[in-house]
Amino acid sequence: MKILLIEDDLDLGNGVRIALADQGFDVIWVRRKEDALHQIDACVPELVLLDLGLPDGDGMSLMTYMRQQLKGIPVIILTARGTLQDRLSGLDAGADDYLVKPFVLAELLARVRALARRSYGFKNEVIEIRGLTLHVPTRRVTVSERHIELTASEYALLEILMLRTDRVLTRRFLEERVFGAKENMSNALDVHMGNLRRKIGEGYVRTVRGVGYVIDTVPIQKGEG
Amino acid sequence: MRNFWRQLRTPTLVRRIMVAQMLLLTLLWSLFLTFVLWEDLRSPSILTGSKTYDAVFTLVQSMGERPQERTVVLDAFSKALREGYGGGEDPELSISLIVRKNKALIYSSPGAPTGVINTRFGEIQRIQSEGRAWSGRTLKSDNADVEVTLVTPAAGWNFFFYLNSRGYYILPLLVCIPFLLFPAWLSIRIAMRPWNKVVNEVSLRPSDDLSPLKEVPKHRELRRMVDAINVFLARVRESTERERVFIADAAHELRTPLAAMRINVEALQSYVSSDRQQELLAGIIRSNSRAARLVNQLLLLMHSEARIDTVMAPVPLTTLIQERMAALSPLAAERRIELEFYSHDETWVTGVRERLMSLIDNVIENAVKYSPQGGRVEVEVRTRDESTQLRVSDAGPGIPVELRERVFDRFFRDPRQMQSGSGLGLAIVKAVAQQHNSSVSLSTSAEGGLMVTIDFPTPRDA
Repeated sequence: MKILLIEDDLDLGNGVRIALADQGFDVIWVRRKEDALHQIDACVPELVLLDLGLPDGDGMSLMTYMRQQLKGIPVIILTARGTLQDRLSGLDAGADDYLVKPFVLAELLARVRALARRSYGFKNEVIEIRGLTLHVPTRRVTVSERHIELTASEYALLEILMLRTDRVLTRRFLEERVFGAKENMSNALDVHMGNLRRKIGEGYVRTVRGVGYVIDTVPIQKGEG
Repeated sequence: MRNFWRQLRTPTLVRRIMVAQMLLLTLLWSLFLTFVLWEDLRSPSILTGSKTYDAVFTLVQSMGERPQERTVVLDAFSKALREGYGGGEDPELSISLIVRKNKALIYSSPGAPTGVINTRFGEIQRIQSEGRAWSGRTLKSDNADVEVTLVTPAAGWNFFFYLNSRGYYILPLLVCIPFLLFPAWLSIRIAMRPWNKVVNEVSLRPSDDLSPLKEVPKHRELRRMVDAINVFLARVRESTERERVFIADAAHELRTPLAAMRINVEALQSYVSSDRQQELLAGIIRSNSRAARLVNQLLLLMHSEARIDTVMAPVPLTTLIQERMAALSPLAAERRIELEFYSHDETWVTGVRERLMSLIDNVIENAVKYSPQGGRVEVEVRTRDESTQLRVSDAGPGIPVELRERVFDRFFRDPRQMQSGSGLGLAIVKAVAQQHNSSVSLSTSAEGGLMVTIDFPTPRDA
């Protein structure tokens, strides 16, 4: 997979390049806006990592250019500007994700993989977590190779949770996504979640009390009590 | 009693003005009095007039044939003069009458300085006689055989006796003083009222409020002072702002090298096989995380302390806490800590969403960090009549009572605490709470750990 890395800092750029190359990505690294413009047209990257503070121009304008030239190519902004406003303006400009420096390699890789997965679509996508599999295009769910029948709401809940593993999704978010934003749905969420858990078995969906639900890729051994 | 004395001894502006006014008044009065009396002493009205002289001429001429009786009458006349003068019977302090007929002395008041002889008639002259100075004036009768001389003492020190005899001049001043003092005191008090208003505004404002004074007095003198204070405040504001921007810029600039360091070490990790080398790299990564966190916290603190320039808007507190807890749950999961949130309906508070976020993040992160592995962190939102309370409790070691004030200071850390931290978390919490007119208090949780309570005022038009 071809990644265009636009980062002016020598050490950071080189570090990211090597780290991504080690993970099997094909990285093209440029340090100036001018080179970036050239590479966008020349090599047609499948994913762009963009630093906003470039020496020869604001990365935001580059962002706008890419949105016109490379429709649908995911862009992750790497930046030292971390306030909510910065994030929002970055995402408004069309970035798919926003990573504030200093970031952790694992986080960068996770975001890159998530976007790579999304840009390829779910055509052949099977998500698998500890024996629980979900085949997105056919909506087929199996636990330990055994097929599970789910209602539409239950499936929708499971799909959202499995596409965003290790992230706690708030009750409000789930309600809005699964049932649409209607009032007093809190009970419905509990009912559907209860049914879903009974069907797929315990140990997959973890409750964060009063906050929401999460599916952990690595199970957490709770100290009971 | 002691308080009363202290109050009496403390200088006040009102008293200063009063005393100055009284002193000036007394001084002017005294000068005026001195001038009047001095003039009067130099040319006493009794000497300048001619009625007294005429009376003596008539007396001498009509009683020319009866010298005995004349002397008795002149003596009585002299006594009457002296009484009127007010100097007593002492010639050195009082007026004296000398009568000559055909250049021969026919009468002189008892003890009168008979050596005083005017060289010119009709004029007050200063004459030395018997070692003293006198003022004398002599008039001649129409047929020029009788000369009447009136003599008053003219020595400087006599003035005081004279003054003493003219005590009635001072009385009006004494009578006037209460009538002058009370209106003066009252008018000063009234004049000082706008001043007190400004003082009140300055003394009532919070220590971190560097905005210009709102009270703009109409009075020129006060306005100058308020303008000066405002200029000063603006300078302080500017310099703290510069300092804050500098710290924020410095922290910001550190982010990229920290990121570079981190990514390089992490990339290096996959090439290193020996456990010892891995351990050393892990040490670098840990330090890097700490530095990164410190930089982030510094930025947050600088942003939190900046004046709120946007309008405070209603923020759904419950939803915001849920979102932040969801975001922080990986951190909790890493330490196998259970996060729990208790709340009823959505609660709204007035504030700035991003700053409330950093407050919530810091309180919960602290709780997670200091909880023992496998512990539980409870977050609770309670609505009361006058406030909305956010409580975060953990099962950690807590903070000793004597340190509970100091932990809000920047970079202060509980010396017994071995967990690494930036020492800025609670400073951020406090800064944000203050901007939202909220209070932060620390207490012991049910599980013996720390409980942080933040009281948000209930929005008025909720």
